[in-house]
Amino acid sequence: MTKQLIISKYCKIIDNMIFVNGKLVFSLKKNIQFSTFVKAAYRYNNMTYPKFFKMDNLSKLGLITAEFLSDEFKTKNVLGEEIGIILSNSTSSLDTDNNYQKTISNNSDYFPSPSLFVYTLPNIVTGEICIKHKILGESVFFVSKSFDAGYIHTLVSDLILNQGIKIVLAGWVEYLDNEYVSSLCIVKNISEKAEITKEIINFTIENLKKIITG
Amino acid sequence: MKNAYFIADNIISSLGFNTAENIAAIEKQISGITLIYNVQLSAQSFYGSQVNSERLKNEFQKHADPNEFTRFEQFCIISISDALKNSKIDITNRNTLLILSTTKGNIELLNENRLPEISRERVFLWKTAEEIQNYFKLKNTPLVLSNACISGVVAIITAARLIEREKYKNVIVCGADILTKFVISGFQSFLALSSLPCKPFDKNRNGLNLGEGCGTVILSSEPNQCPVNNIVYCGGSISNDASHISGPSRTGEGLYLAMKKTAEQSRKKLKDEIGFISVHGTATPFNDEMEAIAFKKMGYSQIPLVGLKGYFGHTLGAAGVIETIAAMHSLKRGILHATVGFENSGVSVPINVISKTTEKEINSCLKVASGFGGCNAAAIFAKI
Repeated sequence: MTKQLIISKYCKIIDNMIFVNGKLVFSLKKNIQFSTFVKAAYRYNNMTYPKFFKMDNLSKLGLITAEFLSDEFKTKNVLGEEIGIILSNSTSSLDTDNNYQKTISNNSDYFPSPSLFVYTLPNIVTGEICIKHKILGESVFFVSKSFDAGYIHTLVSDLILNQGIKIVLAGWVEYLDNEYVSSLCIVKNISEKAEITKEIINFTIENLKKIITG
Repeated sequence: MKNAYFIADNIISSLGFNTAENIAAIEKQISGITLIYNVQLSAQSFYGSQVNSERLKNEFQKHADPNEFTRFEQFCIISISDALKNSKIDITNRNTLLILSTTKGNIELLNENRLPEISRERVFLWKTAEEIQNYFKLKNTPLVLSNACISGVVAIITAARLIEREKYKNVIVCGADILTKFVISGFQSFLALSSLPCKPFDKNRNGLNLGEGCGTVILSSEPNQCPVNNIVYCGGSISNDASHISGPSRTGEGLYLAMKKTAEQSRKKLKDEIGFISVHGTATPFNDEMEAIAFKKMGYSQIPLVGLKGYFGHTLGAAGVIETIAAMHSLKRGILHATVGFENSGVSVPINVISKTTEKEINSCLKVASGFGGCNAAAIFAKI
């Protein structure tokens, strides 16, 4: 059976603006702090997920972005083990690494905490998204200088064509020193698409690059 | 679809600077874990596995100026160089890719007193990889993978898939992590470190030991010229527990899922039952119990288990690569390694842990790993 992979939905969060499929759906003024913005985005989604407030900023950012795409996970006949995640960024978990470093750099003021240390891994954001949406399939985190559409395209295609995965959440999620950008998309076989719309975005390297970095 | 063969390797650890030295020590059941007193790493002494710094300097001088590279980069450069020496691949070709697997890379650079002459930009993992790429004059940008404690196994799975799909002819997988105050203090804050050398699967186990090291394995679509004892990748899978970010699932469901998919995928290439399992076996109470439950679910209770954390400690991003290399040499040499530290089973279901070095003809191995973020990975490889 030949498969036609498409990008069925995408969401980008930058400068306190949230775009879904390229359309602005929510925004606050650019000078508002990320912590305030992300809380407002949480309320906008009518979320009741107290765990959210314990997360580091990278995880909050990734989780909120995934929330705008989460209807795509609820496709009929797709199991949790058939959903995968491939995320990347350029600074890994450096924002939390810096915060954690402050807790151990001074012997007279030494207070490392496990709840902070656990977020010093970039794949914790993938773990948090998996927990929220009961995603049991493959999840991987890569680090690259800029979004590498070629590698990500190869790996996402392989998951769907050869590894028994039907839906992949893929893209870029980065947070460092109050600077952030998150840009994620859903890739699936065209037959998994819930509704027939006029526009079909084929999953090509060019389209992936345009959607994630454009 | 092409086959992915394991054609050359290297291990750097407290037990030696090449695979042969490491395997010889393991076969003699010599552990690399010692009591470490070093205030740069920890205010209190701790049991861990540390690479000899004097020898590191001497070995690295053969390659470049030790003042221009971090400890992490020195591990990678020596290890990759040694693995390449044992293979005939052309690394300047576009057909060759490097995958770097690490949890924290050059994280020691966050401490402003460490290595003041090294650019702080090298704390970015892609920049670290770029230094290694430049040293070897590799054509392709390396792929950098950071997936907690499963990074090494995921790197091998990714490498094998890229070769099977004919994206590359050769993939060099290098997994490394170093001992740092950053990581040691974090595991101490979790109360996850054992006060003694670790005891995987034992009833008296009380935590893990951290280690540092580097493993490099080269995968290729072209097998080695020798007709016997080539090792081929049969299948692999990754899963998530979706239950907790800092503890394994109590049911072992995630690891079970990864093993189940791996077994299905490997069916074509695997002639008989799995010969042994190279476990993750960190020796924390929860990890080992979870693994044992997952093995039982798979019907693997009788399969011999080998755990190597008692030799190297937990080397994080290197662990999956180092342990896979050791397992491949078990297959090649017909010797099962002892799980040093194990005496009496301390898990709730039956298991078959190898407790002393055993000669046995075996054809295949299942490698598993689990880590923070709820992630699990499994891969099967076999002798052909």
